[in-house]
Amino acid sequence: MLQYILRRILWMVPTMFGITVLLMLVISSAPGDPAAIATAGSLETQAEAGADTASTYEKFRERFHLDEPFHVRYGLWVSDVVTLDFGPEFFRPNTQVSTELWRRLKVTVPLSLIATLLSYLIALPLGILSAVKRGTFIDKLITLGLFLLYSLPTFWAGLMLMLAFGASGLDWFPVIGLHDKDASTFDTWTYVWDTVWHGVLPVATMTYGGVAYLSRQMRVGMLETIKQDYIRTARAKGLDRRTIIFKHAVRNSLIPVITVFATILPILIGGSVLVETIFNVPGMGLYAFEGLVSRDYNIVMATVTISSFMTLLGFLLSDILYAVVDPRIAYE
Amino acid sequence: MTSSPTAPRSRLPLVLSTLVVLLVATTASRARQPAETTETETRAAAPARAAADGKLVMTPALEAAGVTEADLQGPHDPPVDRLHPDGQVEPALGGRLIMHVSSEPPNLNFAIENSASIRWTHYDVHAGLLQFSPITWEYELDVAEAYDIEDALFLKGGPGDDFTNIRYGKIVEETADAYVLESGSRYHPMERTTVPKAEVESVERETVWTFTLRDDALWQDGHPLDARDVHFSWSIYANQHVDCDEKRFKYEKIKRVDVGGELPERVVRFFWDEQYFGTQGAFGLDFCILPSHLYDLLDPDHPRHDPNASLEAQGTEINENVHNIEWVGLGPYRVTTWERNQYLAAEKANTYWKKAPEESGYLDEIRWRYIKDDDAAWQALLNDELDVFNRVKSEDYFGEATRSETFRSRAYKALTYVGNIGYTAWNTRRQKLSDPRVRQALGHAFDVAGWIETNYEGKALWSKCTSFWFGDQYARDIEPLEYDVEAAEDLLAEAGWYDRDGDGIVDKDGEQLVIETLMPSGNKASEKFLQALQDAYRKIGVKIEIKTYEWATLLEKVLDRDFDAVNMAWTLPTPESDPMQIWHSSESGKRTSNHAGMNDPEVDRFIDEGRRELDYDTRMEIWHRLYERIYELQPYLFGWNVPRKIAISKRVHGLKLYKFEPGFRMRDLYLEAGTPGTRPIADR
Repeated sequence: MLQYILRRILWMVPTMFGITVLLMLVISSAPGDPAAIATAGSLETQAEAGADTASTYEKFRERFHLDEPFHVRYGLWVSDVVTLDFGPEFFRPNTQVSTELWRRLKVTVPLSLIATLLSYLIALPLGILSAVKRGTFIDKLITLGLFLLYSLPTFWAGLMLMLAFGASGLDWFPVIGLHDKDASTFDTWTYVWDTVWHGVLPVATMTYGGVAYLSRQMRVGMLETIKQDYIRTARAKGLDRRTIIFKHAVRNSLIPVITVFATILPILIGGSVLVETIFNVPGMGLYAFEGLVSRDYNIVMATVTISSFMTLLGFLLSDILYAVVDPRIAYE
Repeated sequence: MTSSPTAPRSRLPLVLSTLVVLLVATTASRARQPAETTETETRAAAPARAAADGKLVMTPALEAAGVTEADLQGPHDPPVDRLHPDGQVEPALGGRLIMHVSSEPPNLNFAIENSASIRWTHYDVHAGLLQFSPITWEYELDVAEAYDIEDALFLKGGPGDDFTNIRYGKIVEETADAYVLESGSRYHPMERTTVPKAEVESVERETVWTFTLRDDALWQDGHPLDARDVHFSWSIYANQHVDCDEKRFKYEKIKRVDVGGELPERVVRFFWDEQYFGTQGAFGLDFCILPSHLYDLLDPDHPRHDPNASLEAQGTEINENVHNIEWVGLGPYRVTTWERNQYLAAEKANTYWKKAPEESGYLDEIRWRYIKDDDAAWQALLNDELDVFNRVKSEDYFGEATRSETFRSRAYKALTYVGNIGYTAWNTRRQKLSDPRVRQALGHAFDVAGWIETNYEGKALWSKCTSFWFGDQYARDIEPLEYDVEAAEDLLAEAGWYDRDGDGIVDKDGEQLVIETLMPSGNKASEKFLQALQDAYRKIGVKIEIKTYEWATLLEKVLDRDFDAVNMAWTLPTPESDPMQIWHSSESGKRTSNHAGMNDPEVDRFIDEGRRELDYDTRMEIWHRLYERIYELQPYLFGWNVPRKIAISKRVHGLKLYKFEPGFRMRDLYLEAGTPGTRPIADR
């Protein structure tokens, strides 16, 4: 097993190489030139008459090595990244991407972690219940509810939650940011409570889609499992229903759910562009989106590279978990 | 002048649109219907008219558009709380207000960063030599307590390395043979001098500006402002290592700045190399004074003083200075907190020389809240997270959103016309759009007045030139092209464009008149307009193909001149703007703002003359002729000035609506006396 893990980790190196080369090729050849944006002043302003735009353009390209051939640029990027230096932002050169990434991760990871945990905590029991009560009114009700949830677009759902629970509706929860405007004056506990309170709607928006998807996966897994001979055998042995389901069925139904787990890590650090935009939460998703819109290659490379790495790591963890939940699976 | 799309975010101010072609089988010989003059057309066209004395007069259309009599008076002190449902109240000192800003600037150093939102922030946290007043529409003294202006006679043989071959002073008399100079400044003692014209190469009037700084002006860290700060702030533009390329060109025209020596310590003399009508604006709008004791390594007071610092080290010190974030300014408010991606907070500074709240502000704290998404910002306003939101969408402003009880119980709305104009630029470099008759045809074929009436409920002003609609520079006598499909078809036919193959699209030399028109993605206003334009142009056999791009790609295409037409907008921060960047042929080949590729000797001549003309009335006459000429050439489908729509918390009082972005001043605002957390003005 250990050898297998080491081999997989080693395989990550060429995989990441391939991903990053491809990524840099794609973003470099995409339309939209960051130096043109810099020449124009910013996303909001354009250059004035007389401005030496040619000089600005060339200096920008030189500063960020955009005038270098691809292999040189990639080499420079890799040599920095191995020291976890993703370079400066193009349009805020005094801000290091890695510093900003860390700041954003501190926002995104807690939110995503809570949303993911909640998704699993709600989805797995629902999926089990739905499978156990297959064909009953409860199953149909759960199925209908989950399909409805799954079909709701995140942006729309976020806005609806805002309208329903913000000042336009019940006025129960704050709808903007993660902190009150007076948060800097709060004591620790009030600050924590304020943060939790502000996080309710974003977390709810991030959670509902996952609940719907995961519970269907769980239901499918359970239905598959309870058809198996060993479950029938367990019933024949006279084991009680609770033991059959929770001791024998659930664990063996987790394979589809574990497969989904591979995607959790990138979600955890990737954040959600839509949720972060709607609730004005400055997290990773928004950061990646802003980088893409402004053609800040350093931001795009950093966020996508990290997401890719976490995806590979997620796959590895999934594979390991397969072996944990199913002793029949072994890796040589 | 700045431009931006009214993109999804966008931050920033403006409108945009586009155009295109679409054509329906219309042939040059086909029977044509006479154009109908509608009531709406008449109404919307009316605002452009002026009384015989040149003053603006109220018309039903203007009144319907929300323009007041006061607006038409030109510069004036606007009434307080004109639209507040509770009317005026007694002001209090203290409290905090939060204003929405859609884009966060990278830093607050206006010398190296040119974001529009910095201007708004700097108005309250910094001060300059002069400051533009939205009340008087003039540049008023700020940290300068006085200034004198003198002229320069450049003598034959060149100015010399040390500018000794120039005679400075006030030209008090000009004879057939000579100029008579006297001192124009108490800091420039000189004898009355006569300079023979035969010795003079050129005369550059009003090029020597001598400023006297206030003696009570302090940086917010307590350090006194002195002439060294001003000199240093100019000198950075000569250092190529400083990231100020966007502004460098402006201040490279200042060839010399004198401080110290025989001059008192608070006196600074600037020497420009040529006369220019916008010199005052260069000092008042763009010149950012930096504290040399915090930015200049050569300053003995700098904590890391290094008399041998290289230019590169000095540049790095400016570009990466911690005070670009932790700003130390001269204004009435001092930056205290900058929570990245969240807000910037500034508290009342005790260093500001003006103490009366009417001048220095009533509030204890101003906060600029950065929210990119306008829908989110709207919700923030409803949830008391914002006090002022000035990007209300038309459908919300005129629709249910502002009629709801939730809104009315917390806020009220106001609109004001700040300088902006939406336009669709035709790329005249393209053969098919190079003939003015084609562009005039396109002007005739779209009912701008009707569009304003139906799409903006009449609350937009048809702008026929790229100048501030309410200002003297605006060419009010331009006769707008009437909506006249028949005239459009005639013009196209005259230019050789008619439908030869019966496919519904006019053609010439085997090419169809298809106009690829760019617009920024996500902009509903542009999309709607372009679809209307498609329909309109279909009637004359012109096809508009709408191409949507996100901002970065759109910008690249525009700067590379890779487009037929593009729909964008300009903001006009002052009543008089320099037309050079948009219309002079010298800008056409560059990656700057002459998107249309205007290249007309007459236009160039007017611009060159106007930029050097220092007499206001004469200059206005030149600008009017310039804009009449431009309108005749129709490089744009000139659009409209839409009002800035503001939603503001009802607890906020003191609102005055101005004609310049962002449409109000935080410094005017206050809370009602007795509001918790405030104190009576008597306790100031």
